[in-house]
Amino acid sequence: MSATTVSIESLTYRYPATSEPAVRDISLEVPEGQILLITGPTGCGKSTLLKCLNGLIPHASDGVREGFVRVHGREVGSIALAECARHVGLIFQSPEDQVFSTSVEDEVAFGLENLGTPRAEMDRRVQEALDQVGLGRMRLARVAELSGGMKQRLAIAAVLAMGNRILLLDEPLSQLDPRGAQEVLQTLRRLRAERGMTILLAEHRLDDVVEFCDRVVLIEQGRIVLDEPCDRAFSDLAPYERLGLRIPDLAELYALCGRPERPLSRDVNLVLEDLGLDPGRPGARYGCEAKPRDPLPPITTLTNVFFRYAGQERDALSRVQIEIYPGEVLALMGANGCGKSTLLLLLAGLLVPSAGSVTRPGQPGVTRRGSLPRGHVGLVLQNPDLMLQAETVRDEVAFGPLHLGLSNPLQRAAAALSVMGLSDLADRSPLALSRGQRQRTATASVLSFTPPLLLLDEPTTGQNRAYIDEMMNALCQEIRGAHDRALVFSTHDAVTAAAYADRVALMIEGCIRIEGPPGEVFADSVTLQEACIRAPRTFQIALAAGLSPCFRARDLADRLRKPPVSTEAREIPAPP
Amino acid sequence: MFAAQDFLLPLPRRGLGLDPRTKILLLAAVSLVAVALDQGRALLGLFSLAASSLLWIRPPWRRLSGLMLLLALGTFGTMVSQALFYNAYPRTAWVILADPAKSWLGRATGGIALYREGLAYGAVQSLRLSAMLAAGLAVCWTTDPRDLLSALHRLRIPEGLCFMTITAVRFLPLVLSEAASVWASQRLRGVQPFRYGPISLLFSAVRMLRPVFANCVRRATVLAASVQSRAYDPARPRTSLQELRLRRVDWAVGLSATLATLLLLVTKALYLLYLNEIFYSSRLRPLYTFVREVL
Repeated sequence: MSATTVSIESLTYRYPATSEPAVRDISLEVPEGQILLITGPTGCGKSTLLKCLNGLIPHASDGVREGFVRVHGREVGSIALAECARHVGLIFQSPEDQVFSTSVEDEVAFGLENLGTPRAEMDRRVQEALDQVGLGRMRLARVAELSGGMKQRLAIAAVLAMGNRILLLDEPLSQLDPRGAQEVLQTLRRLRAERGMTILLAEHRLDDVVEFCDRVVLIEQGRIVLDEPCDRAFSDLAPYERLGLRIPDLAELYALCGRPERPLSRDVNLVLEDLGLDPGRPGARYGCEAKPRDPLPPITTLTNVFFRYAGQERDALSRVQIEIYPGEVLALMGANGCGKSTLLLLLAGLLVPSAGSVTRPGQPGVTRRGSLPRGHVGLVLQNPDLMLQAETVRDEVAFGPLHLGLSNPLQRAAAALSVMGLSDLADRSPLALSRGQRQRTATASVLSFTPPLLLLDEPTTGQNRAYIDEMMNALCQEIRGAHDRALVFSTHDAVTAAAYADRVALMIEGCIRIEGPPGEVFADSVTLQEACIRAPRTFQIALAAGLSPCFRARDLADRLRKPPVSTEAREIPAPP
Repeated sequence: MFAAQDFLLPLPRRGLGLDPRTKILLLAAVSLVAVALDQGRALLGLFSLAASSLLWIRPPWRRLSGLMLLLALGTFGTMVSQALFYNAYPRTAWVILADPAKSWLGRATGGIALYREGLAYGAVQSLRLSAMLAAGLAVCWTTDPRDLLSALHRLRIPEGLCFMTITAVRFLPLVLSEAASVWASQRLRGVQPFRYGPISLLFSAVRMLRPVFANCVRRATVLAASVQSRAYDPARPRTSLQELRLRRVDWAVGLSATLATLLLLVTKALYLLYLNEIFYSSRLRPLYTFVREVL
């Protein structure tokens, strides 16, 4: 760490036509080679701060800016945007929205072309940048052939090629599976080590990123409320809890157990030692068995289902066999492209199996083309904005019951709004709500016609911990209380799946490789690794200690406070 | 999420390997010829030529079926609308929809009918559009958008226009895919777009546009920020990684297309001069006959 690369002094910025500043009175110095994590709830000003650093604000925005932002000692407002682009690169959340070209090398060359770089030099720098992010051999590939993680690394290469020494990343992991997220984080770590790059990362997936960072800055309503090195950033957990952010598991566990230190990553055996736990018997699994189920017929049954998209050489789904029971919450997990969304579309009746059948009691014809199970299935898309078309939240939620010809649509809407905690916002425009509120509006809009099968496609993407918990708690309560409905959701988030699902189905390359209670699935480390899913850290610790499954630090801490006798009494002998 | 996503994207390694500038020139030639021709048979010939070039690049069946659907809808819409609103004379009523002597709607509107001449005129118009659509898709399916951008630059098309064109080609498939998602989501929530005929279909389509447009605006904002932060400035000169080089085949195809188009335009111009009594030569009578009956 040496000279200051980025210096912000009393920065306040207000967008046009708004009364409140998006960021206010921010002062920050970032030394060269530091990885700085900027965190805070959605809408707190993280993205605005990054735009101030790369010159989009003030050069491409009409708002009011006060204070100073200096990069390598030069005020950003006084140099042209193109010149800023040579020093500071900005990577956005969605690779789909920012990648402009259809071939890898063209994407990396785009910035260099804009700078008027001669062809020979451009050719060299394109290759160098691709090598740095590990995509050197993919130079001639088409962007569509890349995975989500690769696309995000391509976006990084595209700014690296321009010679940037400062990299800004705006929630770059939110749409990636754990493998893609690890690829990106490892790339960032290598860039810092090899090129001494300064990296500012805005992200609220704290648990995934914090161990890669040197320092944490926490923003609340545009102001910095905490600025500490990572090892001291979690001394006080109250600000994170107040803002609904997910606290790194280990730090939370140590805090709840009254330990003074706040480790962000530590070997499981050392954790057991620190917490005074003895390692359990290897292979001991108890409390993993499935809950007894009411003897009710399944809501939906998939029998030996295959599906292949037109023009593709490989099946998107193969040999899928699963039954979904009333009152059940099922999580579909797996890497990007493993078939989760395709399976949801099949369950929704929007796709028809190439072979096999999807059956529902009373609806034998769902495998036939064109027989959409209206009212029987509610699907919440990954992007909730695609579902919002009404003038008010109330109209949006009443839309389904109205078009399905159900009685009392407004009463149904009111009930769904109440379940999702949106009653106070019923007269607002859905598009004027926050990301979490829009997600809940979309969910309420299908909840209102009480479909027996409720499907959520990646409901945790880009959401704060608090939003996720609020929504999932309400939904699970609703589903489990009804006894004639089921919830299926796809996610990469192991903690959410473990905390809310009765059953987890782990998908690998279009097949359901393993399914069962979360404790059983997450204990199968080999299959988990193959599916690129990481079991919650708390669960790993509980498993190593021979305790019954715990997925959240709070639950494990509670368990540890109980007398050891009661714990041992519940132990089930390991299989021979 | 849905198959519409890659409809406009180029197919790998298809076509003659022509320079994108040559392809743009060919597209311009097809468009000019389509506008210049009046006779149905000649337009059918032009459409067949454009469609053959498409078939020659061997697109997958789902793209072809998508194209056929587009052409069928376009042709149907154009012919019916022209037949309905044809107001030139003479005109022959083919199907009477509202008789002025028998229904209040007929009395109020003076009669609604599908006119035979309108149908023929609509067919000519739709052949024009179909030929241009087929030629345009042949260019899209054989050319990477970045190569198109470079070609447009080299042809000195204004930067802003180039960028808008390429952005549309790049992102239209995503927009189509999102529209399909919105459509599916609304149908699951009970919307039955075809239940009450064209009117309910129209309402469903309008309802679908709101979320699609909202998302387009959001994506455009991100894309603008992304390209601006990579030093994109339409006012500044750019270089290009891909070197565009005109080969012999490009010159041959380009010159042939240019000469053929010019010849056709000159022929049509001479005929128009004759029709408007501005210039006439008895030696050109066979040409006038040829233009009137064939072109």
